[in-house]
Amino acid sequence: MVVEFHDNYGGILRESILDKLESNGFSYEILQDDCIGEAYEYEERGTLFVKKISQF
Amino acid sequence: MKIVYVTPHLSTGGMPEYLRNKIDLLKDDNEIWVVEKSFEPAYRTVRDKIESLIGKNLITLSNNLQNLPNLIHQIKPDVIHFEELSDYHFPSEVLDQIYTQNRSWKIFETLHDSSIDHYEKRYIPDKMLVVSPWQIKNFLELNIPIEIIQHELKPGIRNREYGLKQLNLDPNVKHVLQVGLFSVRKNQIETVELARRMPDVQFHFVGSLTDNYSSYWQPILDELPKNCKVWGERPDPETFYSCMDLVVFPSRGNYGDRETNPLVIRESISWKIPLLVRDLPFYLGMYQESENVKFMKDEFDGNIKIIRNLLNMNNEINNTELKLDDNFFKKKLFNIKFDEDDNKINFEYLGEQSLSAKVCVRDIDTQATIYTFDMNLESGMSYWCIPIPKKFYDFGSNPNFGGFLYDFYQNDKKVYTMTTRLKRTQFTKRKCKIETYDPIFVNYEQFFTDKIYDKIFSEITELDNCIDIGCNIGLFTDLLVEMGASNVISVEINNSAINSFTKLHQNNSNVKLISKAISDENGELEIFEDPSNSLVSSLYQNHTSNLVNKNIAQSITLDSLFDDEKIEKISLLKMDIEGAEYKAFHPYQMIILKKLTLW
Repeated sequence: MVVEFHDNYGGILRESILDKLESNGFSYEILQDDCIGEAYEYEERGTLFVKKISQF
Repeated sequence: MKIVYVTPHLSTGGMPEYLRNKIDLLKDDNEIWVVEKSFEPAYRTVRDKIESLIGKNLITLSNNLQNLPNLIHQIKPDVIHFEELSDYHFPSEVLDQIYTQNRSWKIFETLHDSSIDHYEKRYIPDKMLVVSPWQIKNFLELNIPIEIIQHELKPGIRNREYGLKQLNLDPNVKHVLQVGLFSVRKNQIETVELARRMPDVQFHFVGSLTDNYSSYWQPILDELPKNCKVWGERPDPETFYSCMDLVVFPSRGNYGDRETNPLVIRESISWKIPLLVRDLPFYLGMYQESENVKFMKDEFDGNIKIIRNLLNMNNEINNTELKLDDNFFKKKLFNIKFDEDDNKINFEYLGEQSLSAKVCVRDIDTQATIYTFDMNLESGMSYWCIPIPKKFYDFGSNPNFGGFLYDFYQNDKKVYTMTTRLKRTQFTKRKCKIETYDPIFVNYEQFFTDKIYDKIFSEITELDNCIDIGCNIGLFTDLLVEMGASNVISVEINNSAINSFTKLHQNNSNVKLISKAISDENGELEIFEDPSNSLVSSLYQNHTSNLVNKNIAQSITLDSLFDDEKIEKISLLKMDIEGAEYKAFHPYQMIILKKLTLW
């Protein structure tokens, strides 16, 4: 999956998406909008590169 | 009853007039006091009227805000009425002395703004007296009594001939009026540009020109067409209402600076003057049933037609200057220079005649649109634009950017083209397959020039079913097709984007477009749209600054989408839905997560 996230305030990215991915067998990278630079889960916007690594 | 009105000022805008109206109605049966936080002598028309109604009971605090509780204790009012929200204009140490537990007065509050929500309110009054349905919606959760109190209107008698004579205006010409403080929000510049295109109509602007907005109004005044007259602040707006043929109200509210229930609209409705208004989401449709109200389009030429129809004029504009001969577009019309230091393009107009056109600034190599704007020119004028700020994209130093293509459109027909070649690119870039006004350049570069998703595609062994949620005009779908996807489901709700998508993919039999919003439940949703940029439609009006149009879209969960389309396996899902991604992932059972293929 490629998911652009926006308006990430108050930890909503972690709560709504990242926890769900982690508990369902996915790994992910969090990148800046340019999809090159690394970003962090508390940044306001960015892109997730998500990969399924195990079937559940 | 003793009532103390507390107001931040009595200078410009609808609020002072609204307050004056209330005082006029209440003064005979009540003892009215008005405490103004500050006094601006340059803008005192309404204040003078209030002073004539209550005399010495009008008091100015200036910088001594502590004087407010002192005055309250001297006056001993039954009601203190803050005409704007107290929290925004007075510090806690002052309000703590007024919002006391054992107070003997009731406190009412009004506000003349649509940008403030109930959770921003710290001092809770006994009652809110608001001016619009939007504010009722915003403040219901305070759980206190709330009521709309509208300005009482007393329209006079329309007498075109007499009124025009009073103003020394030609009765043989049609007259259009805009009322309001000269400011970005009131958007006088749009009316001036409309006037420029209709030299056979006289336009009038009544409203203050304050120093804090001089950077907005001074350039307008410097280039004011001959058929525009700026009257400034006037004590006699009723003279204008009595004789004008049309009132226009093109205000565009942005987040933090919105219209509420503009007095000008209500006055025009009560005077039964034809009125052309830009309908805004925060009006909640309250003017849609008024007989004399028409709504503006977001298309310049369309508004000219509406105005001329409302004025009972034909659409043949009586201006020989506008009739451009066949050879006009064969001449060199511009000197165009690119300033690398500021990413700025300067257009020096060389023509002698008036020219209005939509200008698309594009990448000379791919022809992807970078920026689109309307240009209205007279002889000798220049325009400049910064298509993208340099910190986001540096045209001069990026080795993959070769230069600019400028396409000029009239009525959606390309009439003129110029180019600026800056340099040769390192390789031949892929041409964009779609001609659009939308600013798709950055996405296009990422997908097809910088190829930022190649890393992902290289890890996928087989591109089977792919999903493109928030596909906009279909660039990522185009990339998926190019990478060999056997089946693509694309999802979009913006109608303008859907039109472009359909043109781009009409021959791709393995692409299917679903016109629904992905969310946490199946049903309907309000969607906010930017009329000049289909890329940023969102569930949230504050997502970007110009989401002024509201639409209703059908919504569907990801799981329902997969059920409806009978999708069993997915190779790649891309999602770019401008803040709605959290709702899309919200449903507890996400069958979709099981259907994604292991890479």
